[in-house]
Amino acid sequence: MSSIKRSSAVPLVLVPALAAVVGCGPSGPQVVSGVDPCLPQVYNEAACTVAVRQQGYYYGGTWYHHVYAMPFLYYHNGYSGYVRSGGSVRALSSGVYSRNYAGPALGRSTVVRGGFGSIGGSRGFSGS
Amino acid sequence: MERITSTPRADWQSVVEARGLKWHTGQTPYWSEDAYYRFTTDQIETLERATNELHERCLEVVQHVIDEKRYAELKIPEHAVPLITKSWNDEPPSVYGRFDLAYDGKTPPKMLEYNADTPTSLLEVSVIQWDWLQAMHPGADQFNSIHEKLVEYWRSIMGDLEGNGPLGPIVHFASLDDLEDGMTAAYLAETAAQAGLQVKLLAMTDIGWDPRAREMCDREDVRLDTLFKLYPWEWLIHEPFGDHLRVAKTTIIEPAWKMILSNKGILPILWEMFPGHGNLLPSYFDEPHGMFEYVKKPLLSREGANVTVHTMKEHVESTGEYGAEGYVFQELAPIPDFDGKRPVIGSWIIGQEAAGIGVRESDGWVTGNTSRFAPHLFR
Repeated sequence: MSSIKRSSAVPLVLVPALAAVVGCGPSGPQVVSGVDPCLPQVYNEAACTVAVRQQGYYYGGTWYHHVYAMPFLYYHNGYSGYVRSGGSVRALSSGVYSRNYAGPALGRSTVVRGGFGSIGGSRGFSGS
Repeated sequence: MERITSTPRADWQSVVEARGLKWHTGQTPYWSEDAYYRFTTDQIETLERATNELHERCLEVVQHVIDEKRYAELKIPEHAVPLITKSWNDEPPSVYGRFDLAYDGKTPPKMLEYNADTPTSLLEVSVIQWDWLQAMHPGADQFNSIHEKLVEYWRSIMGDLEGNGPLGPIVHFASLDDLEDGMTAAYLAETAAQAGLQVKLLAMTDIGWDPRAREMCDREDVRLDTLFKLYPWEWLIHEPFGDHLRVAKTTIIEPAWKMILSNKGILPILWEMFPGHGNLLPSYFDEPHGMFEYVKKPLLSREGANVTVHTMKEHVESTGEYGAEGYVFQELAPIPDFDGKRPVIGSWIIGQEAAGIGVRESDGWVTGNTSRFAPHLFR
């Protein structure tokens, strides 16, 4: 038999965070993950500072709730250690973390929506 | 296999809610700690073997249906066939599935159906019942490595995914704007994130189509390179964007070939290909073929809807909106009766291997969306 016993806890961050912000009504979670400004690979000090304080961040004009369990310095040190060890950083423009970010394609989009979900919407659930 | 009554944790509601299970109680409790099921190691090994065996046989059925073009029997429309064959040949990721098994602890487990496309109850089986075990029976074991296997599986496919994010591949997780479906998708997204993938959630209705680029995209117009959809294929192909699925380059999880496995029509085909198999029940298209006690199931249905149970003593029908495509007839399974409670084992496949079980118990023959989820352990 394959290994059955495992670690004594299943680490979850996202699901409990979502559970905390959604009610018991029919509406499901709308937020998940943009690009976390505290990640060493895309570290943005100003955005990370705000994100830790507000427990979330705007990315592309959309709010993403995120649980930061540690103080800002923890993430900053993580970034510093990552760079010291030779890690490369792909910095995004600070504007992308702005609440009012409009995006380069604003006004030019030809995208249409609503082509999926109608059958499930009338039946209420889609799991089995 | 025993059903053992138990005293629930005093604060169980807040404990499970804190872990994401906010739909623990409907009109009646859904998550139930009033009782748990205890198995022996041998019984768990039997369930694991049966699950792996059935998964292998089901993959043979997919190959057979494709080779013999038996789509019409499954009421799969012609326009879906290229999607199925392409996904079968390309082998895109297939993350999970759940067999529903009848098992009494003594005779071989019998396959009731395979929820291979949009199985739910994942958070409960993977996380909530594990937490219960740690709190209530820390010295016991549980057939449950679902979380680890999910993370491991995502990690194993990372290199194969197209990347469009600053940190590499983004996997979008789409579901109905519904609490249970949304949290199930979120849980899967969390396992992918733990594997190192960038993840985004969106509602099915937010999926966009860019006619110029001929691509699907999300609310921010980011192209969907990889889309996990908690939404059945038989609905997708009939919706307004259904035709775009053949054009868009999006890799969709679960793949379109799961349309075959989630169809109850595989039950008679399995029986036809492997007659007398110890983990299968006699099943037929269109009529009972002389069976005295049987279950009539729609080819396509969800959560036990439109199922008819015919025994020597009773005739029970569940309601619903399914059945227009036709039915199959399956011999009545020997689901054990524990003081009026009938448990069905949900046995999970992650990637290509058995990974754990959950138990849903009902007061009657049919497991529906109000059937209770009871934890389990083994020693």
